[in-house]
Amino acid sequence: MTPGSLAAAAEASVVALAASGDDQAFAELVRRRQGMVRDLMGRLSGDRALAEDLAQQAFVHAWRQLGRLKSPAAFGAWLRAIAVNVWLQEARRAPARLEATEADPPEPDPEGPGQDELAAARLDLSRALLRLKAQERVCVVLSYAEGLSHGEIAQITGWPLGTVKSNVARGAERLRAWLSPQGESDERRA
Amino acid sequence: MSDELDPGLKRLFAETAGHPADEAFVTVVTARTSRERRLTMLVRPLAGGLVAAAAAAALAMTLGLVLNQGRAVIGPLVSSSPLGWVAGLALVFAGAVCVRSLAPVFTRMRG
Repeated sequence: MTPGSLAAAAEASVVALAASGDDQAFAELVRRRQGMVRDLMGRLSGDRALAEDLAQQAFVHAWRQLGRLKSPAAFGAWLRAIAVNVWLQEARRAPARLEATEADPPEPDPEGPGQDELAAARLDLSRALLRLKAQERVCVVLSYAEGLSHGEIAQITGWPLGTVKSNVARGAERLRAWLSPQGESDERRA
Repeated sequence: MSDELDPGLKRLFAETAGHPADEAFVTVVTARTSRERRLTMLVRPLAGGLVAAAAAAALAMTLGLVLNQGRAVIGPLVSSSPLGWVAGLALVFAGAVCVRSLAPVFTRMRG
């Protein structure tokens, strides 16, 4: 299959081809899914370099295990679960790297004025997410950014459903408090 | 508790989503997988060879011990008995049966 026809092919076909050892097909999968994985790692990690490294690791893990994927149509969800587990492993291995530090400032937006507010919102959210505990952060990001149900989050992380529900609720509550104008002024006073 | 989400937060997450496609990222990932493939191709035969060598060494040691212990019995039996040549042939036959029954185990270990 040529790169052109790969780009137009259905994902399940590309996954099947990549699982048989086709490097071009795997590169096409990375091309298609990098946005999701990098976004997820960026929100979870805060630090841009670390997020990029973990996103790469997630794809390398996926490449190793691709032969074991039973349903090529489930590739997206399967890849997301791998990415979450790569992040959780890192959180267990080196928790200090994922704790709240000064978040990276957003890159200057080439689209010019009007994007400033969005960049500021992105930075505020990134900082607030980093202040959450690791479990709360994962649950909030998977729920709000990835649109997963509590049950799906429990399945990916292996945590009890009640833990997931309370982490989502508590994490969202904290984010709301920190991101509200009152929360910001409290933070400035502190 | 239901899966209901705070609409304001949900909107904020949606608005701040999105990573631009980056071909450099694809290149880095494929370089990492290629490197790992090369390493696997190098390490797998080496690991197989090491396992086979260890198994052969263990077998040789066991065989040596058995022969050493059996020498006292087998030696006089083969050399002094009038039917020594029959005992010798029986031992050779037993050895061939042993090799034949162990062959599939080694084939499986190599594969």
